[in-house]
Amino acid sequence: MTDSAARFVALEGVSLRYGGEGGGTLAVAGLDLAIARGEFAAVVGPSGCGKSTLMKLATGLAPASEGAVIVAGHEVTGPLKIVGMAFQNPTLLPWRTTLDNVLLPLEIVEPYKSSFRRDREKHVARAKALLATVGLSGFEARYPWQLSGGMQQRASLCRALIHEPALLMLDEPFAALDAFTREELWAVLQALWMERRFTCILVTHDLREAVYLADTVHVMSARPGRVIETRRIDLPRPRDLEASFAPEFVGIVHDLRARIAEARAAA
Amino acid sequence: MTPLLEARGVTRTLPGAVPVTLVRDITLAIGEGEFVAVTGPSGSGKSSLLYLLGLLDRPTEGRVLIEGQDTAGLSAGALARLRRERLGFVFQFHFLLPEFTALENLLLPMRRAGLEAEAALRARAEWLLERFGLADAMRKYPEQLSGGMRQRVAVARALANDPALVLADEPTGNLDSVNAAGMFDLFESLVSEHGRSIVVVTHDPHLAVRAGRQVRLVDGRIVEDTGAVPA
Repeated sequence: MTDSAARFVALEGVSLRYGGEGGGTLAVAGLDLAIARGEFAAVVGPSGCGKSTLMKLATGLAPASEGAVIVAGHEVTGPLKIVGMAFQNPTLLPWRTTLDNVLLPLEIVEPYKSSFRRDREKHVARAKALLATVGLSGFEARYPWQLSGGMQQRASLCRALIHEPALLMLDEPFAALDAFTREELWAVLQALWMERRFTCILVTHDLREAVYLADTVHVMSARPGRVIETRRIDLPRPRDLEASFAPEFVGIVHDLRARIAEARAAA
Repeated sequence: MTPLLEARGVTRTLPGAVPVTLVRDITLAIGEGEFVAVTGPSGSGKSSLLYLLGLLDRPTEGRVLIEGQDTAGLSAGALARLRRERLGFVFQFHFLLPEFTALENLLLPMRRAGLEAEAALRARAEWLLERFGLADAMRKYPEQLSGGMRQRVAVARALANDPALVLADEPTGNLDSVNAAGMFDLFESLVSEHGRSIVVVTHDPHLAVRAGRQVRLVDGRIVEDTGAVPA
């Protein structure tokens, strides 16, 4: 693997201070992290550890105060255009159908934008196929408010992936859903990732979710956040819910939990 | 004069073993340049009414007319076109797409309408954002903006296609009192300086009185309408 593939997303000695020189809050400090191209990484840690700051740093939404952020072989100096995102709140526009919501990024991101109208039929077919892979066939013409929370989040994932971003950023995407729906969506997301192998960074406070989905789980310390442990998850894929109750899986969750408890106590 | 938007005897019932009626026998006409606040307790049908007026939902009984045109027989595509060209929406949550700048978020609905050249769209979007005190925020992403700024971008987006009517559902629900008051300042100027009409659902009585007309709902019925035009 070339260096830019092994370190597709790399944070090197990064710190970020909010609120000005000297004063303010040090959100992260001495943050080192490397994620390979096509890897599924999860970031966990105590509340306020800077998980969301890490997302902003990796996508260029917040500039590092110190250190370097490198994505796809280039130092990040401003917001990246190769990223898809999904957050806890689905951002589906209430006045557009599910299909039209999924098509949105194609209307604004090159190389799709300039030919969007000409190739509309092709894009519609692609969006429908993507919706079908997350179990939303037949719901294309529905409005978001006519869908359940879980269905809205499935559609949000489609919207985040339709323009085939090199990097998918997920910040607590399933946190607002009930436990059963959340577990269903783990399987949906895993299937999408196995088929497409985009690089993914999932920020979550749900350790089972992290272990179920990720190749590597990065544990952050309390504020100022840094990575205090990186755990490889070598469980075979596709993983299913049954596997999440097996001793090996539960053992990993316990280890991570203990590590976060230590980090909290040290704060 | 033909009202901009009109509900005539509108009832919306959700089917099911126990049918639930969301709004009942609503008759309401909204004219040009009107600023209307819809108030009422939770569950009184405020949002349901807004969805019906916004052509996002269809009544079980009664009719919704836009500029005199009955919308009952229109296809989903025709309704979508009417919404795109004549209506703008603001919700409690901003629904800005995180991957795109404030400017790009505005350009999305404008491109969709596809009426003008790219340069003209961009100039209009920039003008709108400047108008709302967002000149420095244009190239920023939603995550880089404060809650109040995000919501102002959402209002600017609602105006992107120059709608005749803006429908807002609890647009200040996530804002502090200063930003909430600022949002209503914005609405007032849209009505007084630009002649738009605005229907805003709010549970905040202090904000509601700033509208020229208050419509109060209880149990899905209009119990008070300070601006009802005599039949």
